[in-house]
Amino acid sequence: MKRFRVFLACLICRTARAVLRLLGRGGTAMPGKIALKVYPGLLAELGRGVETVVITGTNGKTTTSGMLRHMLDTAGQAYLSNRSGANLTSGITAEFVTNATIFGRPSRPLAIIESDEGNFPAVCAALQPKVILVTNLFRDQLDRYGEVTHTRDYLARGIATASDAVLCLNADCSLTASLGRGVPNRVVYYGVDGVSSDREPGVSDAPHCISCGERYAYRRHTFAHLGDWYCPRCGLSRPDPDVAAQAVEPTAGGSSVRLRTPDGLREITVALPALYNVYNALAAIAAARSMGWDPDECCDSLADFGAMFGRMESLTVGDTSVQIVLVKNPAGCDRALEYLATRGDDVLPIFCLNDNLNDGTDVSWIWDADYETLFARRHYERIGVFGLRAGDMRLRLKYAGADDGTIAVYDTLDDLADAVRNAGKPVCVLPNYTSMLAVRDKLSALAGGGKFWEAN
Amino acid sequence: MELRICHLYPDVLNLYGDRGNIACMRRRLEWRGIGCTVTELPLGVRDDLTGYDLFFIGGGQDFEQTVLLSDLSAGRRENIRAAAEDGRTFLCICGGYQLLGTGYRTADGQLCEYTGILDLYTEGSSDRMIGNFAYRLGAESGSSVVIGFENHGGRTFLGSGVSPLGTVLRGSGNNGSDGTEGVRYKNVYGTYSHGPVLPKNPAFCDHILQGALERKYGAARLEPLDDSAETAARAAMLTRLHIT
Repeated sequence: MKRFRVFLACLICRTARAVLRLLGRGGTAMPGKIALKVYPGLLAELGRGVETVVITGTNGKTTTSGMLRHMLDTAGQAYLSNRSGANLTSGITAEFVTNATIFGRPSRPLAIIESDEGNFPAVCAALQPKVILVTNLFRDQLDRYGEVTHTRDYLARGIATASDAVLCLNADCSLTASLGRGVPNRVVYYGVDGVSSDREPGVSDAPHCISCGERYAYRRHTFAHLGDWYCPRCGLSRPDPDVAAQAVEPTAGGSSVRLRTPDGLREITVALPALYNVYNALAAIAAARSMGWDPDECCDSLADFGAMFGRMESLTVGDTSVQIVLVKNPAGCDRALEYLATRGDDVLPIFCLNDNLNDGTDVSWIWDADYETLFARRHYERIGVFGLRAGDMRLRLKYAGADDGTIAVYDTLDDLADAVRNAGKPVCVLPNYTSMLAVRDKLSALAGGGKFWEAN
Repeated sequence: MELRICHLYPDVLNLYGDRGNIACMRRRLEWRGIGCTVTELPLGVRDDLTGYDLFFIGGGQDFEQTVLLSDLSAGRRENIRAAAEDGRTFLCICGGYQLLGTGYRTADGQLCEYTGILDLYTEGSSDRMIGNFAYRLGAESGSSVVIGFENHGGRTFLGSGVSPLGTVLRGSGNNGSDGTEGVRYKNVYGTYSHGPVLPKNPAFCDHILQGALERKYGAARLEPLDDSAETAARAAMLTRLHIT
């Protein structure tokens, strides 16, 4: 009977996916939803025998998953992965169905699975991953998770279902590192040793000791609440990282990193700019080592890993070169704004803000992001805003110091596309999640690219 | 003219972009040539609060809020009470608003005592009230329509010593049952509205600033500003909430 239900669930899921694609729709979540209705235990059934790494955390999930996929691609290994950002249980189930035989047997030995924080307990319980990677915890979608510490509790619940999994945790994020205390799992910490920012921590998402409530102090601070933290009262402190960046040198379009692992020291090249991508690379390396993959090959492959799906992606529309940088919470947004401020050339920045369910319906986080510093450093002749909450975006920019007279509100995607085509200079788009999907779809069609679920 | 703004507990009560309210007040003063200083008073810093005209207290996480109570009982509560009774202006959002009340009863029956500065109390519940919402300010607060975003599990009930800030038009407000939103007592304004509340509600912002300036200088006139960006952002949300 179970056999039959698995078979039936898989069949329905495949059919629904095929029909949606014929209709030209992405169809990443719905087929999985139906399949789980038919057989709720489907994901656990399909995950049996597959060595899985599950990646979660607020920022960097998709880039880090991409790095892990790139490592396997380079090594010529077969795997399955939920690549178009379908990181809910339904999307993950659909991915496993696609990669199973019609009788529900896995056809690939490895899986790289990106999980949304809310679905993480269910995903872990079903897949029993070999490695769990948590990138960081920042404020994000508070309308959904309530508070950052609630998000942490979701992750702890997931970890508790998978005591055999190796945990790879960001030592520099006090909230993430706390997940490694008092659990039976083997824990691998990663962190950045060789960088110290001269900026104060500012608004912190985790200012106080999770154990005793005292304010954390920092021996070194990289960005947001990340760094070499410790509690002056109870002595809780950042765990020593097993995988660490001892020194980081920015290069054209990336970073050169002196990497320390239990195997010793070596130099690696990270082909994406900014320090947060160094964290993503360390996360990927820690996970790859824990999976038992060849550490040198994995590190080498990072040197030619390009941008991902709206997370710093470049395309050309007509004569205009366009860069898309996904921003969806204050910490990630600040990194993107810093990047924008330091770009040497004159650009047309376009800020896009939607408030659909997948974005979080509360857009107030834009007021926690530091647009003020951008406008203190740069003046733009023209600025574009777009999205369901374009009015809020315009207001944020106005109060951050932008001249309201320079802000153009694009009411439709066609208006935005026209502005891009006629920009006469490079365009940098900073959209949140669903506005990214819409803008990317529109611009990549004009650029002759594929639709988003075909992207790598 | 100048307003001295004090941001209380920016290190603890700093959720949901509420600091945007300070940016908003500062700009709207500066655009009119009125001076503005902002002093952040984090946990543990002693200050008798007499050097400020306007206080801002934001919302926080439950975990962080418990850290706060010991600081409040170490003298800060009396300073806040004195400043409020003295007619100084307070804008308190969500958790900061709840803290002014007598206490918080959690969903499982535990009682947490708050400052008791205002006659109101809060009960926890497991289902949060979340979403865009709107309310009309009472006449003493200018009668304009305020739009914002609420996200709270606590249900707040007002005692007889205080007035509601406004009447709910869309959403839940204080408790989802009695149609009130927020609190008004002297120049103290408490609301559940994030958003942050002031940028999209310039009339409310100016009302608060005007009150603080009048207390300090006797009379004050705020020059009108070009609020076309504010009006456009308001119009989009008012339409969505079906408010004409």
